[in-house]
Amino acid sequence: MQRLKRRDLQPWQDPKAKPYIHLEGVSKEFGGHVVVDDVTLSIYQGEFFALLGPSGCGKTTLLRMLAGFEAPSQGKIYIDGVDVTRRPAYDRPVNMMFQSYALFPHMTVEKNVAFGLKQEGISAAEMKERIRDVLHLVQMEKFRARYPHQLSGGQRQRVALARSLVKRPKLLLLDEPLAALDKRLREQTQFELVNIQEEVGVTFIMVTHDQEEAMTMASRLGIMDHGRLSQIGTPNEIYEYPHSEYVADFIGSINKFEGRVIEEDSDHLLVESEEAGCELYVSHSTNAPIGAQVKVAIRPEKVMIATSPPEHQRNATKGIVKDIGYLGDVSIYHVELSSGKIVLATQPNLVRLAERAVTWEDEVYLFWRAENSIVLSS
Amino acid sequence: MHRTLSLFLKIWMTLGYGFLYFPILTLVVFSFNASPQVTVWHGFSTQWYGSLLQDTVLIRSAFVSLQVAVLSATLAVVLGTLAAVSLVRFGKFRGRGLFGILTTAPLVMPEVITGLSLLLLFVGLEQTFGWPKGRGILTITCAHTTLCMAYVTILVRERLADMDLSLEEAALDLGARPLKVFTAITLPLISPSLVSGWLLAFALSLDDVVLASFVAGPGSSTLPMVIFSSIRFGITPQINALATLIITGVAMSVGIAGWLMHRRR
Repeated sequence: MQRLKRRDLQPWQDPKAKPYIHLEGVSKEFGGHVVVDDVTLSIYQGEFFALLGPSGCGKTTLLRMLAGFEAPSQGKIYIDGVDVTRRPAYDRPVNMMFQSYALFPHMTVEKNVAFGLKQEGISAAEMKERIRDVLHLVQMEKFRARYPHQLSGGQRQRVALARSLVKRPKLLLLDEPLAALDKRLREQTQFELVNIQEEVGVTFIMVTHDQEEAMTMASRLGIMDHGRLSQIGTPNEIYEYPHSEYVADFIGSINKFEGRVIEEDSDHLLVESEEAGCELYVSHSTNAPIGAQVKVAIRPEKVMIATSPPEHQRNATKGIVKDIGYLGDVSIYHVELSSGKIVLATQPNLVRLAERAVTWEDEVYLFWRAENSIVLSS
Repeated sequence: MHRTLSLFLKIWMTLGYGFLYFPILTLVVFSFNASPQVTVWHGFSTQWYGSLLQDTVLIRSAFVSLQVAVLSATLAVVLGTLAAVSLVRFGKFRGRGLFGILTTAPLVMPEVITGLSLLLLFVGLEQTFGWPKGRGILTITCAHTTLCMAYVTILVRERLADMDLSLEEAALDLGARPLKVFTAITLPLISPSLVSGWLLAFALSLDDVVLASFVAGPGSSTLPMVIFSSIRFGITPQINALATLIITGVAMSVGIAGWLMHRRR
């Protein structure tokens, strides 16, 4: 089998590519309360798509509609060109890995994995082979005779994955797949899960509230907010070019300056900001007219710190170091500007703590490159 | 925090439990009495257990009781499980609250009233439809089922409510149809409460005298009814022996039921 590498797979950029999973205006109401609001989304074959959002944003309900546990109030769901909107869960080419793993406690690992195949009525020989293959894939062959309560959290997660993969679904849904694991194991499992996904080539849709997890694992993310999809894009696009303040805030931390547009052209935008204490030059255009109030954002790791003033006037300000968060590999400097605004700047710790040039209450200059700032709509 | 009870509380506790269990203890002890007098100890003997086996009336009534208990416990488990599943798994259907109350109402209904109303029902049915012909094991079983089903419903309902719903969803997701999900996943997982429900129902039916007295017919007296009527002619050590056997049986089934309910996987 040709193994698809993550970097080669970008069907969403190909206008001729046909979506494999397609949601068309899907909404869900529970007793007059709109949980999922008019979601239209296309996902391509072999993708690892992550739905990311805070709890209560409707991401799990969306997943449950794909699995067939909830029927949409409105809209249609297509899988591989077939309308499955009204099909019951047991009749969909979709499998789900539950947050609790939902392993059947009265069955061994092998029986758990076999359960789905038994419903298909395939031959005993094929069943045996497929169970063996899938247990090999998740490295659980040795534990086939164990019961779920005899397994560790990580092992249970593997069995749950095997049980849902053995059916060879067109789509695998993962509901917070790593939430039940401790931090160390989670980081290790992230890559394992991605490798397995690449190996089997099944389309994955994962729901998570953990942005790091989503960024690491997914080929594309969808950020959800109050039942709506705020933005869809690759982890890089979402991080570097958030469309809205909500998305910018949700992924990582970001500095935002309020200001007024004083110059606008096809290749740049100039914003006057009292809060920043300087003119902000943004090297991409938006449709904000002159005089409009906008927010200009810059990621902390893109902000540079110096003890002497930089050459340029724009995108450069100064302040007092109020706090330094030492994280080992990097330090986060909290710098207070004359407007009272606190700006975060992340710097790698290239030298040891005692030798560094900037410390508490120092006056420092902050500056950044024009192409690194973003204009946010509110 | 570990606290030892004061002497006062210890005395109260001893008195309280003594009041409850001392009579039962004497009953058990005197079942091994050599004398036919119930109140005077004359040495150890198991003769009354032997003479129990000779008493055809008692043996027959014991057989009636067992038959009724097995039948009504089984029926109660089937009906109670159906009721519990519909209460817990079928969402908020119309009349669900009322259904829940009606199902469990026999728990608090005075047995005299339940018994009397059932008697009137059976008599009325016989006069109108000619069925059931007279009263006997069938009518006692029906009466006991109504009572026992309430207990089973509560036990199974608790178990179902505790059960992770995603287990059933996972089975559906893996391609099992709803009936298959019920038999392959739900039933095995609630089976401890089914067994304990059966045992509880069995014990309830075995020692009921009120309901049975109302709906029993000639020749279908249950064991508790026979005991109850025999004490009017004075207590014999034979009754003690029988009571000891019943206590043992009931204690065992309730004990097993409790153990099954609290057993954690």
